[in-house]
Amino acid sequence: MTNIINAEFRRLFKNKFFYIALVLSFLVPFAEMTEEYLYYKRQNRGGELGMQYDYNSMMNLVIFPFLIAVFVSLFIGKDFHDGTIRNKIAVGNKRGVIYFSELAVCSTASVLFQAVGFFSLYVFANAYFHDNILLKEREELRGAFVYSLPELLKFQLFGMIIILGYTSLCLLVAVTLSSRTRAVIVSLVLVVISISFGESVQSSVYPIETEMEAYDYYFPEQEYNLYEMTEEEQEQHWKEVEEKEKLVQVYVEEHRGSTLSGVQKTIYLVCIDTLAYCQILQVDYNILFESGLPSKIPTFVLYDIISFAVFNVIGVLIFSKKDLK
Amino acid sequence: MEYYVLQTKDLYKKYRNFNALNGVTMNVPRGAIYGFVGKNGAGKTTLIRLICGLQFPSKGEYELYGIKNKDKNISQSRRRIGAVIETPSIYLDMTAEENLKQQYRILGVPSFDGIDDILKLVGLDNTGKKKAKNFSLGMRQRLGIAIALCGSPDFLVLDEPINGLDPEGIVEIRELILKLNKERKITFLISSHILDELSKLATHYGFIDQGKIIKEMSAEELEQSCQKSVNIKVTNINALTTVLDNMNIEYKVIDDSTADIFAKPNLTQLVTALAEKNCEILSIQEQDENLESYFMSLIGGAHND
Repeated sequence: MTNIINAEFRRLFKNKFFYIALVLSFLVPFAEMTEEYLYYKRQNRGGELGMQYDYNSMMNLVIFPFLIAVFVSLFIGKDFHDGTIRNKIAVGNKRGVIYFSELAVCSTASVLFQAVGFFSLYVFANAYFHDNILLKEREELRGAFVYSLPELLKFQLFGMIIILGYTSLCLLVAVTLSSRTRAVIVSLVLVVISISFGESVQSSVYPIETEMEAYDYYFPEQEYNLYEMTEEEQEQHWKEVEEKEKLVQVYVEEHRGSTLSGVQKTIYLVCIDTLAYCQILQVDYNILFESGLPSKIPTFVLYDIISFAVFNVIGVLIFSKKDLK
Repeated sequence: MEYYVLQTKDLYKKYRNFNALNGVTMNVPRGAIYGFVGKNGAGKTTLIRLICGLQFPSKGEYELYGIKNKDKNISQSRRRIGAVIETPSIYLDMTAEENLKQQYRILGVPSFDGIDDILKLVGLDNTGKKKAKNFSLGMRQRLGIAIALCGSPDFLVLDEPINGLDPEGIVEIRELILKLNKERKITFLISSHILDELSKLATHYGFIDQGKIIKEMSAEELEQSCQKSVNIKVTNINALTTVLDNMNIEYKVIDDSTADIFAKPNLTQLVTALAEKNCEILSIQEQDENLESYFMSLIGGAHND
């Protein structure tokens, strides 16, 4: 197996799509942060007031499935298109070995894209918003982020599991279709479906109205001016906000799926924890409320590992029986 | 040591509603250049794909170096073969040398020592940093063979190796095959429908039609079968047949004035005997049956059966 992995890594490092994808992984967060910076600059705030960008570190993961779909389809499809896959099979390598070698290489590439994307976001967010007044006021001097780097990396580790799931799905599609163009189209369609269905499940299980209801209840309209408060009052105010936000979260969680019924409710309640996009949204929601990873993370990880294993078992079975040209 | 490198037994391959192979039984002897002859769509490439493990037989079995295709050690036998199937399987964005290094990695060969020799052997030693995508068709074909030669195989399977090549390229590939067969004792299975070219190489033949081997023979046997004949046109065909019968000569009547004689007759004797029966010779012509016409007659015979 190491022979094929070694050979495939060489092929990867010679592959132009790989470098294009790496550059894109770097450029997208850069463009995002630059755009944000320019927005604040237009409002004459320079880089002095930014938001917290912890949320973006997870939400950016939604971009990678698209990138992975295109990269894996082109990388694997090229092997079929040029007939070079034959060179591996004709000399007696087992198909399972070839499949897992491709998986190892594609997974490494996908994780590299994710790492470069996170690096770019972290560097540019901090570079543009190093004097983040909002966070300074809270005496949390972490540039553009509320969470520390190890904590952010922990979120990325969870993101990596999702990225690996998408990689295995795209590999399954590419090997099954053995055609670059068809694989790109089908993989992209599947990614779009998974995201749009995820969005639909999320908004049905956690309707915005429930959240609004909770906010209206816990945050009745009242006027206050932070600048007129003493430091102690401000501290007290933020504490209260934090506690109420936690109550909002509890309220929303208690009412999940309450607007649904019957089979749809059962299906959606399963999907909300199993679909990668819904998992990202739930993690993001927690990050936004600064409550770390959700308690359901072990369940999410278990589901992700199961999907990863299922995609790969199907992929190996299809590839092992497939007639190649 | 097995006498046969490859033996297939009653191999079938079915694609949905189409039978590409209908019980192929063939034997490729060690050291042979086995010409695999058949029309387009006869099943040549399908059989090669099966042998190389790209596809699986629907029924039947084959042995590579005495190991059956269902045996788990078949991958060890496959390590001893190299193949170029249809188009050469090369990395277009790599140089010739990088392509070979890549194949060495796939094979797990730790040293790249033999690469220069292989490139020299196929005449690609001076291509430098030129990427394979900029190679001519002939160069790509030779690179495909070079890749197949990595790992020192003793059996090379070439599917239509001269397709699309110019005359110079054809000669190059032919000489390369002969050289490898002679110097490295490599057994070849070469599928082609360019029979004239194949006849300059092959030591053995297998004729395939509609997914079935219709004849398998050595080059010597083929030569005997493609016997020379003399085409003779006379004024009285009955007189000719009587004379030929008396002279104990094998012949075949073509029409009411023409016959093919499968021997070199004593012309003086033949002319005298015909003159005695008032039969004039209108024309006389020596003719060869080549591989092509032999193949056509074989196929014709198979279809008539």
